[in-house]
Amino acid sequence: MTAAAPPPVPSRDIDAEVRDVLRDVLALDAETAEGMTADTPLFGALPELDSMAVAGLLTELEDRLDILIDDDEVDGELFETFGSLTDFIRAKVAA
Amino acid sequence: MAAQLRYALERAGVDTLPVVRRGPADAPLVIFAQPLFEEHNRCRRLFADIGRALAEIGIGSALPDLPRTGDQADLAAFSLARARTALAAFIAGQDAALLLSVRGGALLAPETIAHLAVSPVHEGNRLLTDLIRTHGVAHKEATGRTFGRADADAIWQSGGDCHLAGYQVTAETAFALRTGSAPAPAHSLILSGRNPDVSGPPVWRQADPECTAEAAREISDRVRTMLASKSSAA
Repeated sequence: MTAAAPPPVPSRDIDAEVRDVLRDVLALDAETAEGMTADTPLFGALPELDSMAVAGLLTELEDRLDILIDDDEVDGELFETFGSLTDFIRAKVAA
Repeated sequence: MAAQLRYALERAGVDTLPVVRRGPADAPLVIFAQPLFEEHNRCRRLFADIGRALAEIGIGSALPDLPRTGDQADLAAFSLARARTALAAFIAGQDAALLLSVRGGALLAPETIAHLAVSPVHEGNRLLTDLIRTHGVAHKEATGRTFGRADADAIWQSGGDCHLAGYQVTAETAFALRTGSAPAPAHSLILSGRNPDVSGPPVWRQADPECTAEAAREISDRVRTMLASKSSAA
């Protein structure tokens, strides 16, 4: 077994991938993760999501989805809601 | 089989390493290479769980704290080169069957021993990016100002150390991380992620790491299979 680049992610699966990363990195229970909708607030609403966790989330999203996120692209609005995060990731994957 | 636990200070070249050993003393031995920086702390429970799981199937393990990590008394800045040297010296002094690394521990692995890498980091630069990003997010929250790779480079080029995510990072270690890579190991296991070999949480990213006992049992089963394969090929 050797490590290989992850295969491309179909657009329809981006929500599920982001949900999985949030659940795994923040150690959320399955009910909280599955209950997230586009309007669900993230930063400031999830006590698990602090500045250390933000960095880990970004790196884990990069690793799993084979994307690169420039730190200049990261601002408060990115983690405002689940929808704002998935929209950003969807655009990165499509780029 | 009860999991025997022993803790001692052991010599490895010029260094003295705190070492936790589990399992029968006369059993095949697996040496652990731990991740770097904060991931080291977050994976401590995982190593304990793997050590216990291996002991239960009659395999011994040794968990050394390399210079300037873990329970080491020397609190000076971590040196990738010194950690590599110490791990190689420790391995040379053991009759070990396998090195098991997790994450950045793969960057320390010598080529003198069979190696199983769990979720390896192949490029040290990824760890450096993660450290700078973590500091940058906290710095922006505290001061409103950004901190990125260029800011860190300016400090290193002026001869200073950067304090990143709780760790003092010297220019030497930054350079070693930026240019350091680990060849793809012959054997690797991906823990967590999209297509995992072993199901379990990415504990190296979790502030409050989840239980890893089940993942540890799966990893120990893979180790047993590898050792059996080596034994039958010998």
